[in-house]
Amino acid sequence: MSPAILLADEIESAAKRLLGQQPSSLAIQQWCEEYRRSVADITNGRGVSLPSIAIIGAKGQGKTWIARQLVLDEQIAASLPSGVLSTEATTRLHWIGSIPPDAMDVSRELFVPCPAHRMLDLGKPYLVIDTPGYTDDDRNAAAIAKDALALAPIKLLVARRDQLRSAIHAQLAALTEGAVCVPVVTCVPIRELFAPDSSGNHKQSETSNAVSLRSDMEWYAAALAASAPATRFLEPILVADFEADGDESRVGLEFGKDLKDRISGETLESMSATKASRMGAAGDRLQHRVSQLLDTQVPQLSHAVRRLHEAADALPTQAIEAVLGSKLVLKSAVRDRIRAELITGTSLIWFPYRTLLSILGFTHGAWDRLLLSMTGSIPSIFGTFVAWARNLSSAREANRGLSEGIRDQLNRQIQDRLQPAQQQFYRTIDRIRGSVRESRAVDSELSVRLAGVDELQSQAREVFEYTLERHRISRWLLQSLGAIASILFWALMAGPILAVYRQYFAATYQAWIESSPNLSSFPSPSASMLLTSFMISLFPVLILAMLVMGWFQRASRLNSLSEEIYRDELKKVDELQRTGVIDLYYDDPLLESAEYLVNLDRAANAKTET
Amino acid sequence: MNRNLQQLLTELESLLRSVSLAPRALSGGSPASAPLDPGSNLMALLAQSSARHPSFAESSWIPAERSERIREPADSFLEPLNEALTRAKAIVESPVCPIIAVLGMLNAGKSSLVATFLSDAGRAPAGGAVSDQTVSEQKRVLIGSANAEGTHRFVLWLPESWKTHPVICGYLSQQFRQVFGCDGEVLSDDPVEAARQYNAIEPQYFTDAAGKKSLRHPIDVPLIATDPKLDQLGIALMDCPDVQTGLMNRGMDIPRHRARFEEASASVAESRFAVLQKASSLCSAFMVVLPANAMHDQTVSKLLRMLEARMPHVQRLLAVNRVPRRYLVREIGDEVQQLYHSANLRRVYMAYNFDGPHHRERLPPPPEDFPHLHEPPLPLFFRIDGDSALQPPSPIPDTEWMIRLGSQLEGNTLLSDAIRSAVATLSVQTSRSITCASQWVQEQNQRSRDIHQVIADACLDFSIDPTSAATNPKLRLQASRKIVQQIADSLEKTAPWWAKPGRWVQRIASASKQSVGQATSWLRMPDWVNERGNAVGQWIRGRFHRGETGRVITADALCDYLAKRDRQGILGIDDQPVQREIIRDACQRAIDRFQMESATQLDQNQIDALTQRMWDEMPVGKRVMSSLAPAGILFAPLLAVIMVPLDFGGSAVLVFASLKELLFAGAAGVGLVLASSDSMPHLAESESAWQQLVDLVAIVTDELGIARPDPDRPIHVHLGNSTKNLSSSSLPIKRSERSDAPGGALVVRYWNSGTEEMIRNCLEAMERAQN
Repeated sequence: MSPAILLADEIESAAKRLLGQQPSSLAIQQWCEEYRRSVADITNGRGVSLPSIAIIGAKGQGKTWIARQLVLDEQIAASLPSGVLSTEATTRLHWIGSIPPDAMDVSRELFVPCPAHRMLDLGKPYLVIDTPGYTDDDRNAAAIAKDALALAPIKLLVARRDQLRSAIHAQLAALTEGAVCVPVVTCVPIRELFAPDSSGNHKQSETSNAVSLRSDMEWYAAALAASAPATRFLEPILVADFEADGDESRVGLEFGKDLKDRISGETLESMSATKASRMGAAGDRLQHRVSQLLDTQVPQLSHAVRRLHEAADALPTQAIEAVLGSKLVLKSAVRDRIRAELITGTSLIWFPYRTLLSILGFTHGAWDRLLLSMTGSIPSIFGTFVAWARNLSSAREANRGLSEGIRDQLNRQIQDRLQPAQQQFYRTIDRIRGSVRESRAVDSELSVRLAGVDELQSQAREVFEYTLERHRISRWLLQSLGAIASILFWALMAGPILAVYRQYFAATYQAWIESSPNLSSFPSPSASMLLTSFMISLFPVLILAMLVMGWFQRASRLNSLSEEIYRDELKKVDELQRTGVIDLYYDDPLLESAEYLVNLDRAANAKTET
Repeated sequence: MNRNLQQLLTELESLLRSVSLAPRALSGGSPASAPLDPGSNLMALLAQSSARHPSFAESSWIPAERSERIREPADSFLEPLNEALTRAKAIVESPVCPIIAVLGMLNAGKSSLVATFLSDAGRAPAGGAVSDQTVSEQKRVLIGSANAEGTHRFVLWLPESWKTHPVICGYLSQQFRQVFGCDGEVLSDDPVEAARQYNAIEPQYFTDAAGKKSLRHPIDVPLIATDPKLDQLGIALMDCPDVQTGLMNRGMDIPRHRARFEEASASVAESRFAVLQKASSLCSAFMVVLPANAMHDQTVSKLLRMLEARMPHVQRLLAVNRVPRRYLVREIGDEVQQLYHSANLRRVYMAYNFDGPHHRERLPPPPEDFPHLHEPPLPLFFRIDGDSALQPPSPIPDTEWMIRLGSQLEGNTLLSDAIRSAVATLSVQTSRSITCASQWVQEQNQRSRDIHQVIADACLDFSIDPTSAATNPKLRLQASRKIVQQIADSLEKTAPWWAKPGRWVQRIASASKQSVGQATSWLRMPDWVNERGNAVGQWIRGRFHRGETGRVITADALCDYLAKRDRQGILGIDDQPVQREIIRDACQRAIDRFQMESATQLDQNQIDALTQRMWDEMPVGKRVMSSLAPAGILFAPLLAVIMVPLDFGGSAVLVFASLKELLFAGAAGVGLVLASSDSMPHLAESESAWQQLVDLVAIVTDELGIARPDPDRPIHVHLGNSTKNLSSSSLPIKRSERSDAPGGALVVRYWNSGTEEMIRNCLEAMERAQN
């Protein structure tokens, strides 16, 4: 099945499913049927192998006169009536050429046989389609004109000079979208085209009339282009008012020459190779029409779908806010990472500085108790261990929050937030259709899925890691601090150690040189001395470690890092939503249909822009 | 005749504006007397129907079968009726100053036709030459087919003498203000400036009727000019803009793909048609001008249909311009007759195209006073609708020229036609408005009944105990303040001796007695006791939320239940977020009020038996502990459970749970395992629950701004296999008078056929008065 037919089928079945037999659904079905006919006309061209040129326009613009100029055989031309009376009005579609189209409907169409050599030479045989006026008071004629718009790849859009600003031309131009179109402006006053010179001959006019015509034409061409951006408009042809001129045949010849000029640059075949663009344009028109109808007749449908989207769109951000919004989790996780970074970034050789960093990191918030516990206070030791355990637990919680919390939160919220929106959607559909849905259907399982939850979780973790990586403390700084702390410690601790060693070496020497060594000359330092020395040496290192730990874990740094991570997480949500990684999926055909119909125009616009 | 008509119009206006047509139903079910219900006259009903809350918009929500029935929304009738009444009153008092509108197709020659009636001085500035080519450069009437020569405004050409006629001036000024909302702008004597005024399309600052400068579109501000030649004719001409122009410069600014250019241009044309429609009521005759090539265009029919609908008795004339000279007068006459025979045209004129060398003999010689020196030549219209229409070169009788039209039209006849039209329009509009108002009242009554049912069903939905049998469903109790207080009292009363130490229980009870809601703050229990209570409170709240124990109904949940039951969408909860907010607020107010006002209580003896049983079942260990420790340690969690209905995150909620469920949950929270509910004493909650339901329905109805149901027609609800009537609530009626109350527009009314008959009689009398 061709994509074009598929489009009509999809729209039609979605409309039937959603709107039942409501008037708006019937209208959509009718448009789909019209669209299928247009597609068939564009595809098959009614079985006509020749390129065809359709002459289109509002009522009374001179279309048939233009058609007659393409026919060289006077007798055939005379069979095409043109004028202001009913008897001269074109109320049927006139096919003029050497081959009749397939499936002629004689009540609506008429084939006027004309050998190719008796038609204006455009370099290749062709068929002319003369259409009734698009604004004909005869509704049947107007309908025939409308139906004929899809038939030909090349269109002559006819407008009288004095009707250029009529709104109808914009509508007609829009209906030619995708085709090749030659605007033909008829009944141009002679005074606007030519000005008589002193000898009475015509010459190109440069009077205010001509300037006015030029300005109006430029503006008209721009308006047509704005109405049908996908149509290739060739340079307009100006046809003088032959009644005022008095020489109709000359005006006709000039028109024929102009038409040849316009299309001489390209072959009829290349001009008629517009099937794809015409079908695309017809599809866009259908989509736009359906969207407009839904917007005006059943606005509640798009509102219900929008509410589902709004609920779904807000979910990831809400989950991020719920998990990370208070910053407690983030700060805890950041603190944990900084602690780890300080410890792992400091080499093992920087004892006891590195050890102190580890202890301080885990006893965050209980350093007072830690200091007191060094005095041997049992409650302080207990308090320190409690703080240690609490910090460990909160770090574990924070890490879990970062690695799974968002996903968990989202999964919890999806049901709560989307279920009401889904129920509203079903209620809306019931009201539109005027039916009362089974309550169990309304309360049914959630038929909406939010894709990209795992991806969001993993990206959130990455954002966290990436941000911390950017604010990583430099290794040389950590090593330098470790070196300073170690120097400080060993400078203080070196005294007792050196004294002990010196005494030991002296005693050993004595033992070597004396025959009866005295064991008491070997050093026997008391543990309290060593402990006191160690503690005295350790204290400045502890102060330094506290300063380092305090500095790198200072509140302002934690705050700014948490803020930055939080901001980046929200940006990431936006990005994932924009790129469609996080998106809504429906398990219910009804919801799918609504989504499809509501987004028709957006899809068409996106396609056009692409 | 006019005096009689004036009286009848005054009477009709009084009937429409002051006499009650659909009085409100009082609570007893009888209609309110008219003086007590000033908002029930026809105009007020139409205004209410048009100003109804967006949520009650009928057209978009109603099912197909109902939308078929309501063909036109009521709000489309008020303005036309007002307009028709004002117009009829104005025209009855109008001086004889007929205005002939010249309207028609784009570039049909409307301005040229108007110019044929004007003096040379009127067409050109004072002192301007009329014999050379510069005339076309200097004309005040903008003529030409170029975009820069288009007429985009209404230009009223008045006889010179009317300028100084105070009655006519006053009348016209009043009419302009009524139709356009401002006085007209005087057409400049300077041709260049006049051309700019004619051709203006961009919005400009104009002085409106209130004397304030405001940005308006030029088409909404008519131009006014005077001409001495029109004094001879005794008519004014209104040169109207066409209704086809749509490709305007401003349309070019529309970005591609964002909005369709063709739709924008079509809307420009439609808006021009709408203004023309409005302005048509100023005129006493219409001249529809069209070029010969547009005779078959649907726009002509559309214009003629519009004129016939708006001004049915006013003369409509047709002028076919630029007829190619190859056609005979008879052919054009026959064609017009064939095409527009049903349009009731009073006269048909035609003018041959001047240009070209062929059949120039068919150009009739113009009458002497025709402005024949104009360049380009002005159209020479002559009458062709009679059987004796002559074919030039046969001379056209002087009376058949269009420029003689003014002298042939009787001012009084035109005025009389206009009055007949205005009265007929008023009659039609009134009849349609009555029909529409009647339909609207019926629908409002029906919707009012429907919404009562919606509220009752929604409240019943969450009141039913899901554990009860489907065939015999039971209602659950709502733990209101009164009920909670009863439980606290009972706990105190039945507390055994070992629970007395510390008198915490008494304190709890005392706190409950004084102010249940502030008990927790009053008690000042130690933090760790409170923490224990809070933890249990959280646990039990979680159970409520999950529906494991009872059911919590927040304002949002109530809103959802209403939405679910409101299948027609009368409340519009699903319509717009703002509407849902309004309903949600109303639901919150209803819950707050219910908590405050619900006086339903349980049987005290039965509660005592239940609490007594609970104390009895308390394990020995707990008893020992409670005798050693302050009882508050034990009962803080229990208190937290009891307080749950009053402490749900700052906003009041409804907690539907049976008393047993509450106590069981509380007991479980403190580690007690009570006997199964079957072993507990039976408690007759059902009647109390029904009374609560009745009160809740009444309060929700009040807060939504809807009148309570007629006591004689109670609401039925289906409960299992049976149907039950909801009796009237004894709570005082406090219907929300807020302007945004969702049900403000839903009023039960009675249709007063007597008033309707009086209006119809008055209309008939007006018809008779014209004959």
